[in-house]
Amino acid sequence: MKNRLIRLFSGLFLFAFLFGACRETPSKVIYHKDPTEKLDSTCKWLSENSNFHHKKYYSTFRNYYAEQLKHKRPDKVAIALGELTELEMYFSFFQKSTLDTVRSFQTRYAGKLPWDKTLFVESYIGNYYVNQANYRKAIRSFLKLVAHKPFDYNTCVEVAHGYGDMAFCYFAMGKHEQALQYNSKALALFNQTDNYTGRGGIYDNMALVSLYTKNYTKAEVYFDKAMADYKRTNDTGNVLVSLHNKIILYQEMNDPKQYDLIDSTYHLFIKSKIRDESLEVALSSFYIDVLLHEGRNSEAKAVLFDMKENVDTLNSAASDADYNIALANYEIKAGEGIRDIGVIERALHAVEDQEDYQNQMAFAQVLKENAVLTKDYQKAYIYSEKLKRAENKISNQRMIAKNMELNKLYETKHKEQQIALQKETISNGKIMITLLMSALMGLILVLFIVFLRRKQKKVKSENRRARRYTKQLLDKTEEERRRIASDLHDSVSHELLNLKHSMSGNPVSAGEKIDSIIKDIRSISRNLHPVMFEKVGLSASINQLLDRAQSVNQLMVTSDIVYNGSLSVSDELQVYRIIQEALSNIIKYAKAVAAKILIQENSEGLTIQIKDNGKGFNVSETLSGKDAFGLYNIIERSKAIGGEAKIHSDKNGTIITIDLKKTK
Amino acid sequence: MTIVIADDHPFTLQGTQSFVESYGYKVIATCANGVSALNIIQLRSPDIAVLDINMPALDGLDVAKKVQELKLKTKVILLTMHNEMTIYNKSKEYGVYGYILKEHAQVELKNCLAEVAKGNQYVSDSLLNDLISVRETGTSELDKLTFSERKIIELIAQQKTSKQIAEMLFLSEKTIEGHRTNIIEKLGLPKEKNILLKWAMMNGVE
Repeated sequence: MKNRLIRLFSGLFLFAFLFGACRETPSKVIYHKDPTEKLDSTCKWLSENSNFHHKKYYSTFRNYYAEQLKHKRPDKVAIALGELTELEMYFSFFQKSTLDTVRSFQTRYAGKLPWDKTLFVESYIGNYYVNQANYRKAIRSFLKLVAHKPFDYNTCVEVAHGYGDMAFCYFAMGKHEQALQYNSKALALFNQTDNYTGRGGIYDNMALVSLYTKNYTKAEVYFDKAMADYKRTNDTGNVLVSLHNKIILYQEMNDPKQYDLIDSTYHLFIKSKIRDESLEVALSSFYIDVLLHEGRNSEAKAVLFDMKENVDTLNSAASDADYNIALANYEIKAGEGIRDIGVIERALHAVEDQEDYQNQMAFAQVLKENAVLTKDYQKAYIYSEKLKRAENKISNQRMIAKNMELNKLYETKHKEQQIALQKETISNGKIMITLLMSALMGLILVLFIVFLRRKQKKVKSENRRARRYTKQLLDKTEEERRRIASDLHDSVSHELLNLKHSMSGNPVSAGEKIDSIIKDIRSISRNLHPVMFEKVGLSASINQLLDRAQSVNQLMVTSDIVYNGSLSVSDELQVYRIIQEALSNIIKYAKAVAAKILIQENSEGLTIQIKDNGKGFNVSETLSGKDAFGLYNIIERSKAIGGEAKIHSDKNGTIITIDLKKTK
Repeated sequence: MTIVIADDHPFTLQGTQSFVESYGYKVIATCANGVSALNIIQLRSPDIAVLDINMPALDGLDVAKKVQELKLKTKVILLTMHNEMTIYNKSKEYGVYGYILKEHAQVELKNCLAEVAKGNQYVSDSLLNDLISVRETGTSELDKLTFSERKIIELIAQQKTSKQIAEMLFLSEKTIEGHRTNIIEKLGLPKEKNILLKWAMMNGVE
């Protein structure tokens, strides 16, 4: 019974060429049907569905077509031929002569007109072959059609139909995966237009694929969607098609509702007075099944008679097959046996060449039943085998379809998992990067903090040292004052007091006492400040210092001074103080045999060096200790004159080096 | 014999003037600072100028320096409290004829004026004495030697070689050898090998 489905199907997608009137505009729609499409009066007449069955339809077309050819108006030729082919496709009323006309048009004008004006050529050729159940040839035509990129309403609809037709071909060949694939492409394109009839056709098609992959719930959903689209455009013809399809669904589900539905649909069709031979044949064959099922053989015979007329008009393999099977069924049921068994056998042979297992099954079934009826068991066996093979093939295809679906499900799931995994990997990577970045930043921050801390610490210790130095400096100043005070008081005052007492006595001893006082004062003064330093100069003052150290402290100090007076007097005084301090340290602590003062001046700067061969000391330890005032005195004074004091000391002695760079 | 006297202390100035005049010299002018002193010297070309060192504006040394630079015939005598070799050395650079200390002026000024008037130089005895007086006195023979020479003798007594001594005293070996020769000469020793070591041992130098 399923054979009818395919024939009806070719009718179904032809219906889709009906352009539905646009009533509402969903937001996603991009292309709308241009309601002001201009056609001249003849073309308009040719495009009307109701005129197709007019007896002058073809002669009108031929006259007009010849006229336009003669005047070399290829665009009008194309329009006229387009309208004719459209109606032929609508009614599945394919004429060999039309095919020839289309072919000659193609040879003549292909490439000379814009591609969107000649889309009907491939569409018609494809559908012609579909009607002949030659799906491979049909697909070749449709592939040429869908190669175009749609840019407006008409092209969009045409290409969508191309996909839909290809989907149907694959479906008829049992390749459900491709069918689904092309259906979804068609659906996407239809969704860009307000052509609901076309979309309904695709839903129908998808429903049938679902039906064949035994996904009945899905099939019913798609049928309902298709029906909704048809009702939207008040398209009774297509509503009937959908009803027909629903019948097939119920048959497939073995739902007993099918008989009522067939009955009501058949009567609705008759009542609608719609002239559609293709649909009528399909519904008739169902109805005959119902009548034969209920034993109403004479009524079945009447319907068969009406059907024969339509089948003859239609040049369709599917309709022929439907009729032959219905007739055969009737003849078997009537107990007469198939009258013209050759037709069926030829039909079976024909569909065996195609991969049309549905019809193979149907034909084998009737032939087997007929053989049983005529008690020709050998043939019954052969057809039974063929039936079984076709059934196996179909169930195989179903299995494959099922597997495919499962596989698809699995793949989808697998892909989802992979995507999830990738997302996780990416997010993990991101987290990793973020972690690394923050770790790096943290590290930098820590280093920065450590650096700052250290600097702060250094500054702090420097500050502490400076504070200590200042305090010690103040203390030293105080100590110095105390010393001066005590010097003045202890020596000078006492001497003066002595002098006062001895004034009355010996003038000679008084003079000596006065000399002694003067000497004391001179000594105090000398200790406070080098006498007339500015006048005497640095070298002379230093040598004076060394002489004194030598004579007073028994320290052998030699000097090597090359100095041209490049320093200011105040800086010279600092150098003097540094050397004084260093010498004082050597005398106090070093236990040195000798010391040497070196001053070297050259174009780069000034180097001052004080070295001794004393016992030496631990520099850093001493510097951090309490009694480092002398050393800090040297260091700070060196800084004050823009130099740096380097102190090196070991058991062989101490070397203090101060480098002063010339600022010029 | 005309004399100019400059001192920023009026009592000292007056005192000096009376001393100078008491010796029979003619004081043509007295000044309270170096600038007026230099002016007087330039204007009136006195034979001798007795100048204090510490004065406002130009000090005695500055005036002496100017006198030398201007090639004036006035002979400069510095009368000062500074018992300093460094300053004396400086004054010698400026061609100063006399350097005497105020504390010993009563004794030395007369002699100084007389010597300078003759065209001789005069330096206060106490200036030199001051330097000598800081020396410690030990062995009489050792007294003849300078500090460096004594140090070297001490090291010779410790049986150090000239090279070692040179290193220890931050001097060159050549300088040490020079010192050795001087010491031998000063002590009047015969030219023998290791004579200094022997002498040091004998004289108990440590």
